[in-house]
Amino acid sequence: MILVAGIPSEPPLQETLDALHDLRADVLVLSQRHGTDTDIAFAVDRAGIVDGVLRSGRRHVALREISAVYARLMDHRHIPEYQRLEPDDPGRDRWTALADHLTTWLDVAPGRVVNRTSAMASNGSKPYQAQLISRHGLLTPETLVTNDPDQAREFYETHPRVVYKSASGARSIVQTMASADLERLGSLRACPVQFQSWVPGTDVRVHVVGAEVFATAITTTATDYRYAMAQVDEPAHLQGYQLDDQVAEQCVALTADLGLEFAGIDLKITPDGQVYCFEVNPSPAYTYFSGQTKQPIAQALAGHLMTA
Amino acid sequence: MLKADPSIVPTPGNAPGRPVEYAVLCGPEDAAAVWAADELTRRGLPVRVVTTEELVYSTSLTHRLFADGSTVAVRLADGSILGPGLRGTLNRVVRLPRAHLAATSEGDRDYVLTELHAVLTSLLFALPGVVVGRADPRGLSGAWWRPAEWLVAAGRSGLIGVGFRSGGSDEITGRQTVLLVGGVVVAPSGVDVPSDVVLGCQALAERHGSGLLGLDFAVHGSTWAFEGATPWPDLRPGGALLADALHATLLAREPVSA
Repeated sequence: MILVAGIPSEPPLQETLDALHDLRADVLVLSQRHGTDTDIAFAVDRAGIVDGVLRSGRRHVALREISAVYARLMDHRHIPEYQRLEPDDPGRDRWTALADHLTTWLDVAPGRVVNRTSAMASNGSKPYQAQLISRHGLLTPETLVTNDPDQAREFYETHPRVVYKSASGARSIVQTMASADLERLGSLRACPVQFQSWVPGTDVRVHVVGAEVFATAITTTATDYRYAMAQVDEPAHLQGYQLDDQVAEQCVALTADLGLEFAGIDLKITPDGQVYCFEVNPSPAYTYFSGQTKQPIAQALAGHLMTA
Repeated sequence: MLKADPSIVPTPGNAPGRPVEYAVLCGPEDAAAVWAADELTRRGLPVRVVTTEELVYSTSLTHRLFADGSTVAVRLADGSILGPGLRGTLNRVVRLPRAHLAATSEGDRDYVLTELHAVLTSLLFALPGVVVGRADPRGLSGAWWRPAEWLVAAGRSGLIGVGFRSGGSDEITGRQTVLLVGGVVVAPSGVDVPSDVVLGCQALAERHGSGLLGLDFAVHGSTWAFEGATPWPDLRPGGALLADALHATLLAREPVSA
């Protein structure tokens, strides 16, 4: 049995569910919107073996029957049904316990989990993740993380173009540094900032599903293609891209090394063929890409879950 | 591979600071870390205790990434530099100071703390030389695993566990704590740890990767049942044996695997 957990109406979950349906998979959907109607209880025995029970509505399933999981969990505190509960409603405690037990079980479940909470942690520190990425032969843009205005100024003055962005997993819009920003460098004292040498070339998003690779080239003049409309008033153009075999292998190996089954890897390929890697997203919203390129990512994900 | 860091190149009025060779990084309240620093000093290591506050409030914290490596350079309050000159570090950093954010809004405070955590995770992971307590995204001096994770990993490492139930726990009696640093298992004086338990502890530490663990066991007769572990144990019960093992580890040429 395959467990799909999250918000079922969200496109990445919905498309995976559709693909699993096409494959006639035995699927259990755990909707986070029904937190008060869901329970999970499990135990670890003396040999470290995990088992327990998951209840979703009237359905009870032994955890040992679940061979694979696709989880795209959102913070339960942001779910409307949770927010509608009074602050002192015991349902809130129950919802919180469910989230805690579920994420813990995902980390110790014996089957294939896309993706384990622990494996997703590297994305919480971009420079940390970059150090792991560089072990796989993919280039890291020259980066300075500092709270020192003099160091930041020197970096700006010695690189043709500099961008800055958050170091954590907090979503931020990548911005190009301008001379006017030099006036604001004093604020670095309160919080170090990550500056990066801008890399010219083609943005390529690589989705890795197990050993399968789907690459998409993104064409835009925006600094951050995700915000192309806001930055340059034109949407980014997405197109399927044939990745070099060696780079594809590096992406597969990097994904596995991070403990991930499914990843969205952000590359930039320079005009002279150098491959830079910016980030590995452990919970990619792949439908943004597959919707335009028609790449069968959901089908690959469903197949990966089925072969666990 | 490490590169020269431009941040410590001498400039007029900004002479390069004296490099720190051996460091104990910790919060000011971490008596066990201070004890370890004293013991290492007695054994001849020029140890500098660096508090988390000194790191975070440094006037010049720089962390660089290149295509083929990374560097760290933090100018400390006395002008010395924590960075390229490091040969060995006991990292006990577990939390971020937040006093300087008392006057900021909740949203800004949360953002700054999240960013600081991300920066310190990477910076501490990138420290050169031997590091005991290598940073991990799930803990600034080593991953804090959940109880169930410890027990599953312990089972895969050959240890017998006490078992775990989500939402519940059993009362433990007859607890023994053993410490592990650099692959050496240190037990309290007069306690013999069975050899299979020693091997299991070493295998579990290898899986964890921080290089320092405190492991709790429920002991009934000759049966040692693993209960849980922490990457931030009190080091003092390990006494001279623990200090010797820590000293030997920090002097080792090969870094502890991260």
